[in-house]
Amino acid sequence: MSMTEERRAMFPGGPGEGMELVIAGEGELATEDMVLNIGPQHPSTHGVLRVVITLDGERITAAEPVIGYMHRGFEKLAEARDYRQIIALVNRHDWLSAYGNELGVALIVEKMMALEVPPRATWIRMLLTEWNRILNHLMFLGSYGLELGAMTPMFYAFREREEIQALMESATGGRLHFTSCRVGGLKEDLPKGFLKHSERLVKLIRHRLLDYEGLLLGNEIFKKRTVGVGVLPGSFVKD
Amino acid sequence: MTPEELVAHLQEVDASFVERSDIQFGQASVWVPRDKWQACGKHLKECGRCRFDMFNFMAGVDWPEQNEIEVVAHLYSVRRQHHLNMKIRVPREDGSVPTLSGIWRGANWQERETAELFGVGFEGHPHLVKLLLPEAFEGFPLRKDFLLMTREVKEWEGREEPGAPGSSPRPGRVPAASGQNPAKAGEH
Repeated sequence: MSMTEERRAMFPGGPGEGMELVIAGEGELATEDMVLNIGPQHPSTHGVLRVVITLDGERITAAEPVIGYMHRGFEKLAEARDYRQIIALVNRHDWLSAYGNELGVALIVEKMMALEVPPRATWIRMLLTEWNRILNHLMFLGSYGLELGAMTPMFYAFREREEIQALMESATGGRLHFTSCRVGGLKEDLPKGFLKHSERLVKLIRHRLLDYEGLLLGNEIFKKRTVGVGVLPGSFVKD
Repeated sequence: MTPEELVAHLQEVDASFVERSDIQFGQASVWVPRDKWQACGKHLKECGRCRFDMFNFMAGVDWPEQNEIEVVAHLYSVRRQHHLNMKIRVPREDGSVPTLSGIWRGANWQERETAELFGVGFEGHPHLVKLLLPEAFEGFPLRKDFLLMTREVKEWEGREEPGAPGSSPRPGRVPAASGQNPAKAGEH
């Protein structure tokens, strides 16, 4: 058993163990291995992950991700509920694309029951899912920039998000967990003026996307930290 | 390939790959015998017509009546755009399945998850330790007889819980005979 394996066996890295910092031996820094814990963080922060890394000096020689802090056993919860109730559960899976999740449940139950959905409901669902997707992408642009040291895109993203959320709220009553999909259709029809307002927003956001492009892709720090970093070949990702 | 063609193709390649097959909701499922599980997986990935280049996910299904756990590997081909469910049944006690992690890398974590949640072993898996659950967790939470922790502490009145004593083996359904559960006998 090598030194590294021995250290890793000492700290198998299950959730619930405290933070450990082990500095190996008293030898030279560059030749001794060190096991460090990165995280875990509180479940309400995003990207909860603990990584047990093994260091040789400053070089990471092994990394064991410890996930599971965010797993709340939805499958088990769903066992005790009926299909309508599950819709309110699944939009918490990814609370930035809640609509897509609830639509998934509605579609699968409709498929199993061979239910036909009215065309109007199908198109409204698609429209709301697309708006939700844009909400999600805006959050990505904003927070990804923020994590890489660019603060401004976050404010821009939230300006747009606020407008779309108001639109979604007018149609569904929710801003995050919409719960407006139903097996067989929708909770209710769109309010008056929704489409007109939608059209106006599409134009506005399309125009403002130029700002994002400049803010992110024109940002030297953002580019330095993303271009060519962590590139994975397609076959590896699929495998 | 269409689901029908996929099943026919597998039977043609090696009749022993397919124990039983089924097409539901446009998805093909094949039940593969244990000794052919890896060979079938290898063929599905490497065959030019199948090209299952993506291990989508793995699921488990608990069948308490048959005392079996079903392991389902959902395979997808990005290249060919078709989908296949590879299924295998193992006994609930000490059941194990040969690992697919040598064929698809993605199967590694999926098998760890299925192992800890359903209590199925994966023979030949390089690192079969718990993935999501804490090290000291006991029991297999996605089996039907495992109770929700909050319900274990306090019963939710008027609800039939999956796995509760006297409840029907399939959750969400009314028990066949009332009064089986002494705790709930008064309600019927």
